[in-house]
Amino acid sequence: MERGEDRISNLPNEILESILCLMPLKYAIRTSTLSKRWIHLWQFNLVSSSSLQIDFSDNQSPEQFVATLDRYLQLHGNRNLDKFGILFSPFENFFPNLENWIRTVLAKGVKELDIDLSQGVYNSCREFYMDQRIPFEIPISLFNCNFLTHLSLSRCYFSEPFDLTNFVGLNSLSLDYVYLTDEMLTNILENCVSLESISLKRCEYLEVVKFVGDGLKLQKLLIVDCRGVCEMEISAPKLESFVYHGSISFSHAFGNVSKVTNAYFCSVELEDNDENFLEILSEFSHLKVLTICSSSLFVLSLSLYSSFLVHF
Amino acid sequence: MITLTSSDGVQFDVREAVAKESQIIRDMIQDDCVITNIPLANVNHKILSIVLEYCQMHVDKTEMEVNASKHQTTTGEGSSSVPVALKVSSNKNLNDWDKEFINVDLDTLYDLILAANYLNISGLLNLTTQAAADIIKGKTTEEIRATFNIKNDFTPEEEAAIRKENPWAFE
Repeated sequence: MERGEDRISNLPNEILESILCLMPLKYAIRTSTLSKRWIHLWQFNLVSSSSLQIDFSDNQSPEQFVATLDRYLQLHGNRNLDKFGILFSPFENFFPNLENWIRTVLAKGVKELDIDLSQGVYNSCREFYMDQRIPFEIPISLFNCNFLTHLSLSRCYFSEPFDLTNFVGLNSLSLDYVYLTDEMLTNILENCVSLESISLKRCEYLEVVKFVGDGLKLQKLLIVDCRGVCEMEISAPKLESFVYHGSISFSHAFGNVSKVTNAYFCSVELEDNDENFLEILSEFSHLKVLTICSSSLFVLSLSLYSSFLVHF
Repeated sequence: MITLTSSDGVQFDVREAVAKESQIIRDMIQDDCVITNIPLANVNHKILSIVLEYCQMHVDKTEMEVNASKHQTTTGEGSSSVPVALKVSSNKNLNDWDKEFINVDLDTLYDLILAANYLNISGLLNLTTQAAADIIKGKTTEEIRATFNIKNDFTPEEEAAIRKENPWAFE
């Protein structure tokens, strides 16, 4: 064979297409610029995939992003899609497009939906967005969908009425910077009876976190920076993993947490709440793995050391 | 035994089970049970010997598992299924073996892909196409071109226009 010969381009189309299906869409697309032979081969990856995940990146305008995603969904035709995820910013001009995408993928029978609009100028000290864009209202048609198993929303809010009766099969729910009240959380627990994993981040309006019930299937619970929380009650017989990040100034009641094997705590402003924190930790004395972030650990060790001095 | 003859006339005598790893040979044997010599016009002896090494290994491993499970049944230790631990370790060994096996130069890889496709050996086709995919994955356009000696037949303007269609992928 001649040295330097391009043999891969001579492989039959169906082989090249199957090779391009064995990698993430992004890498398959990169082959479109190799040579004329390769321009359209990547499309087979998109068309035959049951999952579509695309992120808005710096090297394009929002208009380009919207046009690209529209084109992908059109290419995908009426085939089923199990997983759909986008990372975008809540540009109000494109809310109709977002609604349209959600409608389209729901019609394609999507089971796992991930709408992440968290991109933006975020002030993490003061915990708000400085770009002043309004969050996206999730279209009410979502509530009609009864085959969702995974729902993840960021910087969105739910439309009224908040009717979750169709979400009996929902397995995992992740809400970040979503308007969520105590009543809404209660509603979630009453209706989404299959939930095994819940993640709540930056849900500022949440005051009472209550996961109590012998029938709860909840195995994983993650609560991060929900600053309004003043009361926490957890009694979940199947809970295995618990992650908490935020202030520990809430009152607490931990009932059945005997199955929890993994816990992570990281607290800010711990100095005033170190005793509360120690009380909570004592509820989890049976853990296999306990992780405490270094700053909390530092405060804890100081407080333990001072109580040691008092006793002797 | 079955005799397979490569495109350059070299004969390989293999057990029927080994030859039957190939779907097209399986079909031929099923259609005509007296067939014993099969010429393979599209595979030379160098590639055929590598392909047969793969088939031999996979047949041996499967037979080992079956024997182990038979042994277990005859010794009366309950279920006829292969013990999970044995199955797992055996799969792991085979995966390791596959990984080592596919560590070949690009020319051999193309030939193996074509042979696996022609002979319809699904395991080998999956293994070889995945290996090709792993080489492409994560590389920039220029790196892929250099790796496979692909000649760029676009004008710079044309190439820029294609990039612009899917900018996120070129970040």
